[in-house]
Amino acid sequence: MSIPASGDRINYSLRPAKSVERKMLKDIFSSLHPFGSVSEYKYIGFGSKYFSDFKLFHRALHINDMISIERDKENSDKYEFNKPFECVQLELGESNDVLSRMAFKKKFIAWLDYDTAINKGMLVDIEILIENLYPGSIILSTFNSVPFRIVKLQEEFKDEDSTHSELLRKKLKNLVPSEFVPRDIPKKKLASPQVYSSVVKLIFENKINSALLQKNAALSEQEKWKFAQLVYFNYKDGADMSTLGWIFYQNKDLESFNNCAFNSLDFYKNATDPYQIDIPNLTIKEIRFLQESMPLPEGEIDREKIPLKIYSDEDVFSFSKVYKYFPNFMDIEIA
Amino acid sequence: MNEKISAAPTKDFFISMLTRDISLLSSIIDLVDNSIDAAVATGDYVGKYVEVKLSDSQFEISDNCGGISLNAAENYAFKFGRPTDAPPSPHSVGRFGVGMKRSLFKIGANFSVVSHHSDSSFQVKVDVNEWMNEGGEWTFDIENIPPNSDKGTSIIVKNLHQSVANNFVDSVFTELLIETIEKAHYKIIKQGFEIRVNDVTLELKDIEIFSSNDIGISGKEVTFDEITVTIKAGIGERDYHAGGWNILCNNRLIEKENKGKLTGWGLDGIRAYHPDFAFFRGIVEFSSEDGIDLPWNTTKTGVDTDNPVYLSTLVHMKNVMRPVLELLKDRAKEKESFDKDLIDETPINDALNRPTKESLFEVAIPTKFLRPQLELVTQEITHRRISYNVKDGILQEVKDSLGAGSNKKVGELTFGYYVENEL
Repeated sequence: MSIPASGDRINYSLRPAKSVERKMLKDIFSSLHPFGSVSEYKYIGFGSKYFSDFKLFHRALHINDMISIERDKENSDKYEFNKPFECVQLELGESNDVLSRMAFKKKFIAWLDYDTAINKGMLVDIEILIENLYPGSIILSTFNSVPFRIVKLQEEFKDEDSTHSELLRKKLKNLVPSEFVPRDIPKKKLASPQVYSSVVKLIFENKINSALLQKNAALSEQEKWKFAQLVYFNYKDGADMSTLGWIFYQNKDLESFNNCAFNSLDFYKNATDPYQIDIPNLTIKEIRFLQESMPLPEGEIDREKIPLKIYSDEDVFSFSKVYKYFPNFMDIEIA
Repeated sequence: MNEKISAAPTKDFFISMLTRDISLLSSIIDLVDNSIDAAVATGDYVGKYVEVKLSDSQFEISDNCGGISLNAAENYAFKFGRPTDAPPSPHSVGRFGVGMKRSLFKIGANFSVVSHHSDSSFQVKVDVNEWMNEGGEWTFDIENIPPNSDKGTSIIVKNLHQSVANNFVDSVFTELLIETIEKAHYKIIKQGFEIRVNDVTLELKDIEIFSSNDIGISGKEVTFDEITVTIKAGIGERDYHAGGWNILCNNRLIEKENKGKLTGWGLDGIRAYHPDFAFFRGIVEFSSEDGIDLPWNTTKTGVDTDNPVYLSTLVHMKNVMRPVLELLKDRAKEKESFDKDLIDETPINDALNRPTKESLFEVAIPTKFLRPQLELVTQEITHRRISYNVKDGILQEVKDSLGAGSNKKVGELTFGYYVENEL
C-alpha cells in the first residue's frame, strides 16, 4: 500500500494559520541582513506541489537559490510541472538522503516542514544541517504536535499502571534515540499540545546541544558555535502543529546577531512557552470592522467600539495578534 | 610528627607499568618511528633506510638517518617523559618521551645503543637487571666513541625475554610486522624511504580509488590552530576488509580500515558498516609541527577519542562520508533494479567497473562530490490485487457452476463476468 503524499490531502494555500506563519517567518528572515544580504541565502524546503513558501520567499526576499526536497519520486513530473520559478531546484528523495548529498557552500534557511510526529529522521536532518552550518543559518522544524493520549499509550504498551508521563517517555524513547529524551517530563496537562510540544522542543534542543558540543570541541572561543531560538509557534489548521526555529552563529558574530534585533518582532520567541497562532472565525464584514480598531490601544478592548455581542474577547485578542498577516481574499494565489 | 614518605617509584615497578600497555609489535614500530623522525630532521628520505633483524638470540635495528645528537641523548632520548621545555621536533611521530626506552625494556634485558651524529658519536650500554639493582640512581652511562663517516643509529638488544624470542622465530609474527609497518608507513615508503625486515624490503601499500570524469571523491580540509586535517573519502574495489576509515597522524597510520562508531559508522543517521559499503575508502590526515596535540594514544595504535580535535574532526568526517554512502546505497539499488529488469542502464556500476584508479592520497579535494545519477524506476503499476472472504457453501456452488479448479480462478471469472455485463 502506498501512502499518498501530503500534497494530495490538503491544499497548503488554503490553510490560514500556515499562511500567517509563513508571513511571520518572512518578517523574521527579513531581519537577517546583518549577516549579509538575505537574497544570498539558500532556501531549502519541502515545496510539495504548491510551493507556497517558495513563492513567498522568492518574491518577498528575492532568494534565488531554492531547493525543494520531494520524497514522492514516482510523481516527479507533477512536481516539476508545478515548479513556480526556474530557480527552484527539485531534489527527489528522503530528506536524510537529499541533505546528505547536497553541496551547501553558503548560509541557508532550511524549513523542514514535516507533517508527522517527531522521529529519529528529523534529528538526523538537524545533525546534517549542523555539519554544514555557515554563520547566520536558520533551521526550522515543523512537526505534528497532537499529544499522545494516555489511553492509546496504555493500549500500545499494555500497561495500565504507569502514569501518562512515564508512558510518554517510553513512547518518545521508541521514536528517537533515548539519550535525547528528557528525564523530567511534566506530569500535568500532557493532553495539551502546548505541554506536549514543549517536551518535543527539549528533544530538539538536546540534539542541537550535543551536535554543537562535538562541533565546538576543538574550536577557539571566538569560533565556537551558538544557537538561539527564534520561533516557537503552535497552531491548528486541522491537526495541532508546532514550528521551532533556531539561528546558528559563531561567538565572533555576536554583534551581527544582536543587530538583527529579532526581539522587535512580537512573535519572536526565545522562551519556553509557545506563540499561539489562532485564526478567529470571522466574516469579511466582521474583519473589516474589527481591523479599524487595530492595534488595540494598550492591549485593551474598547467595548464601546467593539460590541461584545459580535466579538468574543478571545476572537479579538487572537485577531490582534495576526491581523497584519491575516489571509485576505485579494491574496488568493492564481500564479 | 612531620616526616616525609618517599613516593618515588621503584625501577622494576616503573618498568613493568611502562611496558604493560604496549604490544611487542607496537614497540618495534616505535623504534622504526624513531629512525623515520631522524630522517625527517635531515629533510630528505631518499637513500635513507632502516633495517630490522629478528632472531631468537637478539634484536637489531640500524639506520643511516643521521644519529642522535648528544644534546638529544642527554636531555630527551634517554630521559623518561619528554621535558615540557623540549624543542618541538617538527612533524615528528615520536612525542611522548617514552618510545625508545619502553620498546627496549619490552624486548630484552640487555641493550646497547650506538649513535654517530654529525656533532658526536656515543654509545649507551645497559644491563637492565644490574640497572634495577643499583637502586636510587636513575642514570645511564654514556660513553664517547670514535666517529664514523656513516651517520646513523644502531641498537642491539640481547638477553631477550622468552616470549619475545618465541615470537621472533615465528614466521607469522614477522609477516604481521611487515604488513603493519607497510600500512603504518605508507607515505614514507612512497617518498623513497626504505624499510627492511629480515632482508625483506617493504612494499608500497596504497589506498586506491576510482577517479574519472563521472566519479570523484568527497573531501574537506580544516584547521584547528596549528593542526591541519585533510579528510577524503572515495570508492575503491569491493573489499569487505579494506573498507573503512584510515587515520594518519604526521604521516603515520594509527587507525586502519576502521568500520565502527569510532569513525562515525552507525551514528547520527549513518548506517553501520555493511557489505554494500565494502567499496568505501576514507583517509583522515592530521598534521602538526608539534605531535603532542594530535589525537593519537601513546602507543600510536589508535585514536584518543576524547581529544577535542578528533571530536570536531568526526563531525566533518560524517559530513564527508554521507554523500559517498548515499552513492553506495544507490549502487545497490541500481543493481537490484537492473537484475529485476526494471532499468536498462547502470551508470553507477559502470563507473566502478573501469580500470582508472588513483591513490586517494594524491587526488585533490573537489568542491563537489562528482557521481553518476541513479536511473529512476518509472514502471507504471498495471495490476492490483483484491482479496475477500465469502461463505464456503456458496463458493463451492459458484465453483461448480463455473467449472473452476481453484478459488483464485473463481475470483477472476466472476470479476470478468461483472466487467463484461455491467460496465
